[in-house]
Amino acid sequence: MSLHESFLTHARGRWIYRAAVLCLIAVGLYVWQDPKAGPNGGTWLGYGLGSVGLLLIVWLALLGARKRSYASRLGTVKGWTSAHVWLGLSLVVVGTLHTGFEFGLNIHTLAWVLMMLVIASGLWGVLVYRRFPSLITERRGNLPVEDIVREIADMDRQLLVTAAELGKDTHERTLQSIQRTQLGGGFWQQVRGVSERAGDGLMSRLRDELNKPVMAAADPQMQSRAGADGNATMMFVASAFVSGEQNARERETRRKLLDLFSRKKALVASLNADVTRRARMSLWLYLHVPLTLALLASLLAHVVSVFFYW
Amino acid sequence: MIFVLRQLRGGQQNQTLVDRKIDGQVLTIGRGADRDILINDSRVAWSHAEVRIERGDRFRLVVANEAPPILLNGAPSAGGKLKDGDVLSIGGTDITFRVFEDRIYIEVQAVRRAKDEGEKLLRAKARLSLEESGVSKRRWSWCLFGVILLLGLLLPVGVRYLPADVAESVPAPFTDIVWNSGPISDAHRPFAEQCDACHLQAFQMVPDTACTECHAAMPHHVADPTQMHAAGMEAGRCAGCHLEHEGPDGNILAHPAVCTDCHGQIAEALPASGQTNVTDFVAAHPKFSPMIWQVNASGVREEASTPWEPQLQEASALVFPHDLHMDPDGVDDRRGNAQVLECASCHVYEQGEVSFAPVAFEPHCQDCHSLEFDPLAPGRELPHGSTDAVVQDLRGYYARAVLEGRTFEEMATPGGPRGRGRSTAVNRPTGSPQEVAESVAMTFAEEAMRIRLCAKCHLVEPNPARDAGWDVTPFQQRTVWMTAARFDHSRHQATGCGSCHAAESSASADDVLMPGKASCENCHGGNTGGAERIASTCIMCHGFHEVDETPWLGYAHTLADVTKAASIESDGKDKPPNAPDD
Repeated sequence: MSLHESFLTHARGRWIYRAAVLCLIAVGLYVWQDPKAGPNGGTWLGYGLGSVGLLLIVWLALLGARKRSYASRLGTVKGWTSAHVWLGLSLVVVGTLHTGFEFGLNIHTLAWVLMMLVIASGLWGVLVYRRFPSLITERRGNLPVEDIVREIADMDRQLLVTAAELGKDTHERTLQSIQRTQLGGGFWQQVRGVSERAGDGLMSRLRDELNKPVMAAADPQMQSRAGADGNATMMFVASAFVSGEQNARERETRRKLLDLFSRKKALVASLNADVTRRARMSLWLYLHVPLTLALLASLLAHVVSVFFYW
Repeated sequence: MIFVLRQLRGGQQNQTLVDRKIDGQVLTIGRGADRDILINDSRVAWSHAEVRIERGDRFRLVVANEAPPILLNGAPSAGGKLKDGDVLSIGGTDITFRVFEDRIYIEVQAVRRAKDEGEKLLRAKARLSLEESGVSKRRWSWCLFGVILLLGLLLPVGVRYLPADVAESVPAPFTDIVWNSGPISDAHRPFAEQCDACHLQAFQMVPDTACTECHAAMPHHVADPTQMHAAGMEAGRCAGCHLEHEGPDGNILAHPAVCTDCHGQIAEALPASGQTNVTDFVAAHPKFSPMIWQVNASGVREEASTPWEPQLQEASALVFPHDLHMDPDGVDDRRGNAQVLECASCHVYEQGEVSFAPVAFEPHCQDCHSLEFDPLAPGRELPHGSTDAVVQDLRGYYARAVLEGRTFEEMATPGGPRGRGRSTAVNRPTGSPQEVAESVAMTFAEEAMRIRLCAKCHLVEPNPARDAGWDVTPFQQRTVWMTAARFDHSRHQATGCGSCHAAESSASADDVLMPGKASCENCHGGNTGGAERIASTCIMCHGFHEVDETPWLGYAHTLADVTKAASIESDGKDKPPNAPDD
């Protein structure tokens, strides 16, 4: 059993057991009861299940507060998480039986729908916690994000210093390239993945051209192809590289620049892939938390309205 | 306004200043030799940025396209307004912007921290997590919270307290209709969207006054307040049983517990009611007790609720063999033609097809059973329904016959109507024509009643108070026998009359042809019904409020008995007279 599953079986499954008992009691009472007007939220069991459900939801929502309260002595965060997951799942039974399976287009059913969505997003979160963290630490080699950014910044500086040796044009294009470098991105960009692969084919082709400078210089198609690929900076470097006019030192400088570029590109791609993995890992919380707040609002409206129009 | 460029050199201790005036409205920054501020650092573009004077004393930083942003007071900036004291950091150089009187002092100082600056810029631009993406969980959460609270709680409450004409103009999703917990019953649909028609007061249960506003005449279960008190029904609310928002007929509860909560233990809880405990039609329900006629010990005919048993008999005072009339070959009418009769020939539905109209002589019997009394006057029939009318009619008829000179012998000729059972031993009357006429009329009246006509169907008994000395015992036809229950014939048509009423084999009108409970149990199960029978709870046959509404049910009779029983109990007397059987 891996480390990441342990909160589910915290304290030898104490919370699985408790949640299961709660569900069994709820189902048992539901089957046993025989209300005059059929099962609904207004019978004694309806009020009972509703109260239990409401208390559970409020308490489960407090997990968010408990997580931030490091000084708390009210049990471990792991214990709370375990309770949160299992009691949260038991709400599927408690909350649904509370409805007596009477659904409609109203605030009451909205509260039930939101509860189910919160639980579904929470389940997604559980799956994510079980699957993704190990992937992320593997891929990143335990290097913190800030260190990777620092490394890229270092490379940028080296790129500029190297480019400056090759004159104003080269420098400015390098500067623009650095300016266009994208680490991470907007919400959906992070979730979908920041594409850094467009230049990969070009990179390998450029390396081929570097090894055959004269032939490449004679190829007039190269510039247009590079332009189509959109990586103008690298194209510029390569075309200058193969023009055959520069001396050996310049040639060496260009080779170094190209090398730096490709290393940086790989580093950025890896960072972005990591960003995407982590975005996908935390995406569920962007549903779970707002839906929870929506649920609390609808519950407030539900409870007040039920007694307002008793 | 003019720019004064001030180069600061050295540390805090030995700082030196070099001031240089710059002409023009634009100050240029970059790595190019022609820049006003030349910063020789690889991160800086040839022409990186400008500071422009705009309309008097307003200044703006403009960063060239494609050039990296500049740190303005430590934060990346792609240009914007500048104010006194702002610090621009670029290429390891701090540029402080100061305005003093008519001059703009631009203090330039190299600080040698290009490495940090680049990292800061890169990091500031990067958005490496969803938190940094600008989408805030917290903002979305509170937005959703607010929207739902507004639509689900604040607007519904608010609209309720608006003036009625304003509230009516608010469209549906923004009113308290979002609180509607389920479909309104069909009967209440006309005001389904007016919540305050029933929910009179906030945070108070729907009061009975909300119901009696329309249902003012609805009687309660028991009229007697002491019974209500004993049964604990005073505190009951209409809405305690009549739940709303439970579908088209959800406000009529069919659950047996509505009745059996009390009636399941009524014998112990309310012994004065004389009722037996009932919990289930099949398992625990008394025998039917039809109302039938009985002659009591002192010879008086009275109606009594009598426990059903096979071949139950009543004192019907009628001669009517169902079997004879239902002969499949038919019965002869007065013209000798065979008429095949069926139930519906005599038992005709009342409007609504719930129960039957009383069988009457004229439409149902007279076609066959003639009331002709004189063979010499075919077509002349006696009236039906009143012995007085019969006697008066005969008096007139025979007075006229005597005046017309008809002899007694003529009048007494055998072979009169049907001729059967005719009296032959009559004395010839004497005296004045008046006396003769009266004597003849009385003789024939007695004969018609006692032997020939009335007695054919009715019980005719001596009655000295009557002119003819005989009278027809009144036959009070019953259309409802089970007075405490409701039975809709129209819904049982498919089973056929004979499946419940054994009329075809009944030779006497004294046979009580009401079916027993077992007959119902062929189709009707108890509360759950079981696999093969209809689930039948109390309200399928019994009502709760039915006192005067449905007179054919005769509920008032039962009610009177209950209250009578209560008064007997309170007097410490004997048990009620009509305690149901078991």
